[in-house]
Amino acid sequence: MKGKIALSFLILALSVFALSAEPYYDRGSQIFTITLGTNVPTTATINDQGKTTTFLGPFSGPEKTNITMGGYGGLDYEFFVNPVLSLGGELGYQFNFASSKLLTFVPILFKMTYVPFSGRFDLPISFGFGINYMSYNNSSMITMFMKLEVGFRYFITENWGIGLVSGFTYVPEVYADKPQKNGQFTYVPINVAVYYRH
Amino acid sequence: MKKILLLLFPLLTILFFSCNLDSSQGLLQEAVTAPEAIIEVVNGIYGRTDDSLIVGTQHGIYTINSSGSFNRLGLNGNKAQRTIYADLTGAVYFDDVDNAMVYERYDGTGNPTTYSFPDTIQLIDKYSSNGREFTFIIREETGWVEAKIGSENYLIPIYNFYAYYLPQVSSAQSFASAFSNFSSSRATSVSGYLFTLNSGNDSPTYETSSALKIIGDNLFIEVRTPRPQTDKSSITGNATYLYSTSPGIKPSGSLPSDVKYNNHPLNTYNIVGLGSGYEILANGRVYQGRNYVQNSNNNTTFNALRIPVYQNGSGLIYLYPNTSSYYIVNSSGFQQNQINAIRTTYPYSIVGRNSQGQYLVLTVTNGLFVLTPTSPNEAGTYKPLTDRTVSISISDFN
Repeated sequence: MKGKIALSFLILALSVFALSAEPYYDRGSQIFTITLGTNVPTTATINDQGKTTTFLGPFSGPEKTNITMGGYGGLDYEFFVNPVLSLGGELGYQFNFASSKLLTFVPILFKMTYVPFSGRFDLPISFGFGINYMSYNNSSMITMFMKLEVGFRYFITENWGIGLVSGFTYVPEVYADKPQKNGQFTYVPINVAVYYRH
Repeated sequence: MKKILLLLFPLLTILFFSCNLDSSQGLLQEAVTAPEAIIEVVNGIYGRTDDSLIVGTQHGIYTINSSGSFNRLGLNGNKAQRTIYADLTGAVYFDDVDNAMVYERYDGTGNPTTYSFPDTIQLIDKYSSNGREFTFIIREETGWVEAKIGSENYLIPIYNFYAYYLPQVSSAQSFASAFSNFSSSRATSVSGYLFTLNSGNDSPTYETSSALKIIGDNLFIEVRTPRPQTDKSSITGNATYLYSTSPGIKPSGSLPSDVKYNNHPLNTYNIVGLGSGYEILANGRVYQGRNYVQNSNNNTTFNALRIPVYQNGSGLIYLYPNTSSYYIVNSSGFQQNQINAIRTTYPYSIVGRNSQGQYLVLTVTNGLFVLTPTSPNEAGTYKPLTDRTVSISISDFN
């Protein structure tokens, strides 16, 4: 039953996109977003006792990342430079747990979003790149942060909307002088969002 | 916009490379490998600092303090199979299982500090006593010396052995200073030095003997006379030196008369080689610990040789001048062997070995041969160099 509802919803959305030949946005349009959600750790690659090892999936256990699913909250601003492309930024806070200790990310991103379909329904595809303040167990560092996201926005009124966003995030932890400490972390964010546009 | 980007780029670069520089473990490493306390198994207690026990587990090394807090130590690489060098006052010293020239000091605060031994020396042993003292045995190859017996010349490596005694220390600086002094002046904390050169009874010009052995709690350093003229040490005369790691006994200039080795006065023998669990004396006797296991010294020829030219896992290799014979002495006995392929081409002599110590290079009348010392009595382990006319200088091998 749920599957049928989702499929109907998708067909409806695509129909709307097809009918919305004219882009909704103009140069100068803006969108403010508040995002809340969770994230699912997918891989963590580290040097474990002298050997580069990739751990898979959330939570602890053999070959797993030892990192729980976590929470995320973010603020996002977009400014359209043309009807289908916006530039903007995002400030977020993410938390996970590893061995009962808090692992936090604070990404500050530059974002570029392509919106091929817009109107009452939007289909934004975003690439974000920036820095990330990362801390765990009284240690912290600044890493790079990259993510690719695909979203679905539904505007209930002319200005206010809700949506779903997911994608793939890559966080490399690089030490120039001690490569044995390097690590790479990837995860899948799953977020809901509230939008205001004008 | 361009200006903003130009400002942002160096800022990001600085931030990117400037954080967390003092941690010996990456954050992700720590997060991924951090064990749950309930599943971690403590393998042993390594030592203690003021308020913490240092314990080893299957995943790493941790401290447990008096309030029960369980923290992973940021040791270099955080290898669980580490061993403790010494538990000295106020600090614990760990080895690095991947790098013998590195050790780490942890005093219970912050992250452990990594130190390196000077790269000019070879660490051959380490010894701690009663948790209060710490001795490193260090070997440094200083060159080659020619020893002449009859008409033959032998080039024999010279080693200086240093025993560093480290008494109680309370700071990393004083611990490390011994090594920094060593690399600069070679004077601080040196309790003796040794030569491995031993050219036999009939060549007093070169006769200097050495011994180095830990027996029980004692480290013995022996120097026989006459010795080469040298200004490298204050050691003089015909003496055997005892260095004791036991509390209350400090390096002395002569061995106490009641100290004997296997019921023989220690200074009647030279330990010229150390095998795996056994010692080879210059007269060909082999001992395991304090137990005599071989006496192959009935071969009177051997007494005239006494030139160990190489030591490896098989034992000590002695050359017999002017013949194709050589001897291996080890815990299995005293074996005389022939280098058959060059029997007719003697005399030969050793001109060097490669930097890894894998080969002896022999000169014969018709060229140069390379002998693999790991099993020199097996056919085919020697081989001629590809070009018998090639000349090899000593500098190629040492």
